[in-house]
Amino acid sequence: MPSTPRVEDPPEVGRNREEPNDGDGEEGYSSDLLDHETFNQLLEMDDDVDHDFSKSIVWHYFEQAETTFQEMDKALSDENLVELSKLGHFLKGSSAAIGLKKVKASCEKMQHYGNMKDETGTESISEEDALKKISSLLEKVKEEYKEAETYLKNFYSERDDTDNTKNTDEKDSSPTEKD
Amino acid sequence: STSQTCQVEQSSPQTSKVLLVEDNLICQRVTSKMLVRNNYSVDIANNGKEAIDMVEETINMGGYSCILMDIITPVMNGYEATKLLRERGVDIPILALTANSFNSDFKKAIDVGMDAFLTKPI
Repeated sequence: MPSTPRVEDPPEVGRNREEPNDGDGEEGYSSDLLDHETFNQLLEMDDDVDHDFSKSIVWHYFEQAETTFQEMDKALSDENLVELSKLGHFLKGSSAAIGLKKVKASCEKMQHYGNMKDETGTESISEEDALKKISSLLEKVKEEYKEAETYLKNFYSERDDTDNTKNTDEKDSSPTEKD
Repeated sequence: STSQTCQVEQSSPQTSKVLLVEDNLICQRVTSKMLVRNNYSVDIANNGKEAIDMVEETINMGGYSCILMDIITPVMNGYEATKLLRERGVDIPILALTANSFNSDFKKAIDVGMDAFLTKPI
């Protein structure tokens, strides 16, 4: 049974941006982006029966996020804070399920701002302030999502390439049948 | 936001039947997969109202061993659903399930009769 690779070291390829100069290197970069423990738990759910479970979840998340961002854009243009809070909460849940830390954190802020609270959810803010904060936050969370999307697509591309190489090697090394 | 009810998944041997109340389809899939892998049978409700209906429909057939209740769902939220279930004498363990981690939510969950509080991802 092929083993499911654990996400311990981030893939080398496909980094579309310069690495942040935070001294933590590659591991620090992906650890900011992804809760590896959560994502690894998702990968562990891939099995013989449902080898692509985690990938289907991630791809489903991409669709959901795109749709949710469109709904957020509309709610912002309608100045509908209640809806923005609900949408923030909604996307926070699925982001958390995959382990996307930055997206989850930004969605939580949107949830608070939509409730006319500050980013910690404790102090009240005005409606005008809430809309202003959500407007800039929405752009930020979209960038964070794109970052996560790139990382995850590269991860699965690497995994699929590894699986294909393994299958080819196994096929080449298997004994040929005799007539 | 879109959601749809997943089909009931069962694993053999069945030990306990759990009702998962969750409106986010991705969270439904991940949580139910986790439960099934641990030999639970899972039914899914998209919101608090559906949860109440499903509990009442199954109450004479053994019922659920516990309910995992997302606290923010459309139509009827987890708090309201729990309060109604408790008022109707349903004493199944209800675990609040949420991506929130606010103290106020924890207190409210206990006040309406929930038994425990789990933050996502579980």
